[in-house]
Amino acid sequence: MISAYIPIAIFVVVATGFAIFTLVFTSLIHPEKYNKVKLEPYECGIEPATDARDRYSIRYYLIAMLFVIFDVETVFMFPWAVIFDQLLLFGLIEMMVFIFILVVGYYYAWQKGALEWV
Amino acid sequence: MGEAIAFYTLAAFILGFAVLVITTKDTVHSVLFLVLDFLFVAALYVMLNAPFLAAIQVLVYAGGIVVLYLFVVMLVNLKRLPEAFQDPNRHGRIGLILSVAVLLELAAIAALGVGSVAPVRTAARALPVTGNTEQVGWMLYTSYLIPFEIASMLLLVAMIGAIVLAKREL
Amino acid sequence: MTPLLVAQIGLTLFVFLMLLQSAAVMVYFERKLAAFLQQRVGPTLVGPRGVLQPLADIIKLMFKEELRPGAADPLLFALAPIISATAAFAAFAVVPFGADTTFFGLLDQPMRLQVADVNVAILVIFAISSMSVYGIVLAGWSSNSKYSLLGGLRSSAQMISYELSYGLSLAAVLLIGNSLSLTEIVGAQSGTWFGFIPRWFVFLQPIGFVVYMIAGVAETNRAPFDFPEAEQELVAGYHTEYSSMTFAMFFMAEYINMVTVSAVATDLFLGGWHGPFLPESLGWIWFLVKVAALLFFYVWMRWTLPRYRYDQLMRFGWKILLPVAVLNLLVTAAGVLYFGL
Repeated sequence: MISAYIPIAIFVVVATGFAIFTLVFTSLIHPEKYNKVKLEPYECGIEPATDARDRYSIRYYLIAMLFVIFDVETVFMFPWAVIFDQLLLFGLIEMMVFIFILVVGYYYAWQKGALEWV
Repeated sequence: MGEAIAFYTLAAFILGFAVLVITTKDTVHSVLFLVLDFLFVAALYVMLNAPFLAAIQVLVYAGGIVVLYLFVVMLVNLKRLPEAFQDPNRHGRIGLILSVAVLLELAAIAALGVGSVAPVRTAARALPVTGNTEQVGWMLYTSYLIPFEIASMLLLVAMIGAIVLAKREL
Repeated sequence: MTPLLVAQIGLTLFVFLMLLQSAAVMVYFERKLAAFLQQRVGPTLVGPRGVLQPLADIIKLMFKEELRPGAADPLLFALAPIISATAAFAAFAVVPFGADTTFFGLLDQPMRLQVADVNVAILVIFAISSMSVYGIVLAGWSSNSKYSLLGGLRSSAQMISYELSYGLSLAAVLLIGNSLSLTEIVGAQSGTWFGFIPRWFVFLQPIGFVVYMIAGVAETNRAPFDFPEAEQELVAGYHTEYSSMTFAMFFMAEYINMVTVSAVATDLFLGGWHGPFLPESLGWIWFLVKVAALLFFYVWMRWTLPRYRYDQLMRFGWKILLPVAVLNLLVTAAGVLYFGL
């Protein structure tokens, strides 16, 4: 059973090796003539005044947080879906209860505007 | 034999990356080592014949929670060290006590928990379904039904907490 | 070295090379099709009808200077394209693309046309696709350019938002397929209803298929959801600062991701390698035809639909697609219960 996963590992190693080899190989053949302007980040020709790594909207954090919560919910669906043919009505009811509790939170998020981007 | 070699190699990688996570100065690099650490833990799960757990480890930890960490680290963007860390010995004593407590706890689990592993295995064999994911599902949706429903309550609390934390004026 | 092992290694290399060249084919295909839709001729000069254009592009990119902003994080800047490329390749490893074969009797036992025959293939694909967000977010962060950072952030928020609907539409297929193995799900789609309608899951899961395709387009950052590289606002998004082959890596990863999404859709909804007229051993031709049709759909959509606005995209993902995906799952479960599959 474990041996079935070895080809995935080999595939990952081959892909990484290919990417590294290509990048190293091309870095040997392409020209390198540096000057100061080339080291600046692109900002439509204007000299950057501030560092790019500034603070950004808290909404990205909120989206990531909601994602983690719903991701866990999604993960619960997979084993449930696979053995649904044995759980049947009992399984449907327990998943309904599970989703209902989450829908309460989803409704709260909706009402509080957490799903809005503006 | 092969299994032992694989286990110790993976364990060495996991511990090595864990050390790198806490010693690296740059927080974004540190978060990346955490991803690598989680991926190797997932490999360990695969070796233990628990592919479902491995997939969940990658999906939820490496792909979800660490993305959240990354957003937070990039958001606060520590350009200089916080002042609390200027005195390296400040948290030394509490840290020592806490780590000893965790160590004792682990030792207790190892000492007392050995006997209880076997019955779980026999229970797993008696399940009406085959395959790791199916067995996890069967246990979760029959024997552990109440914890499963409580988990959704936990998720609800987490969701409301996140919204309250992130949004001041609503 | 048994013949089976040799065949397995050969297959692995073959799939790798095919994925590599599929990116080149897609570049040509997309440019020609875009030209056709806009009543232009497209590339014509390099080779007959311009077929060697992707090769010329790659050679040109190889000899271009590689620039890196002075304030960039050198390690992460170099790592980001590698992560993108690796994640794109790795997801295809568990996708089966043909019936078991003995290669015209060369092998004594049939082999599966799949790099890694794992029984939790769907979970593996879902897990690996959740990893591809790192290539983009790190590219954006490490460049230390405002456009890159905004592009990386937007794109990662978009990818994680649509990943939920993506996962839920996969779960609905598991319900009717009763397995996590892609091979078994394809196997369940053989034969016909009433003698002429193929038993494809798209007929049982029309909403699931639509949700999957929308989420798949958003996951691969293609138009009308191509926000990470919304040219008019963000120059080139997360790869603004990338040039030469590092840029090519991101480009290639995008096309390979498209191929993977289309291949998985073919296996889950369109009956994989099952189809009329051809014997089972030539089923991979059907598989290729179906994947090509979905890829055509991808390109067609890009050159027909205008880009969404970002707040519309997030609202659509969270307020429409996610509830629809959850409802679809519950209705599917009720249907399985009522009709009994």
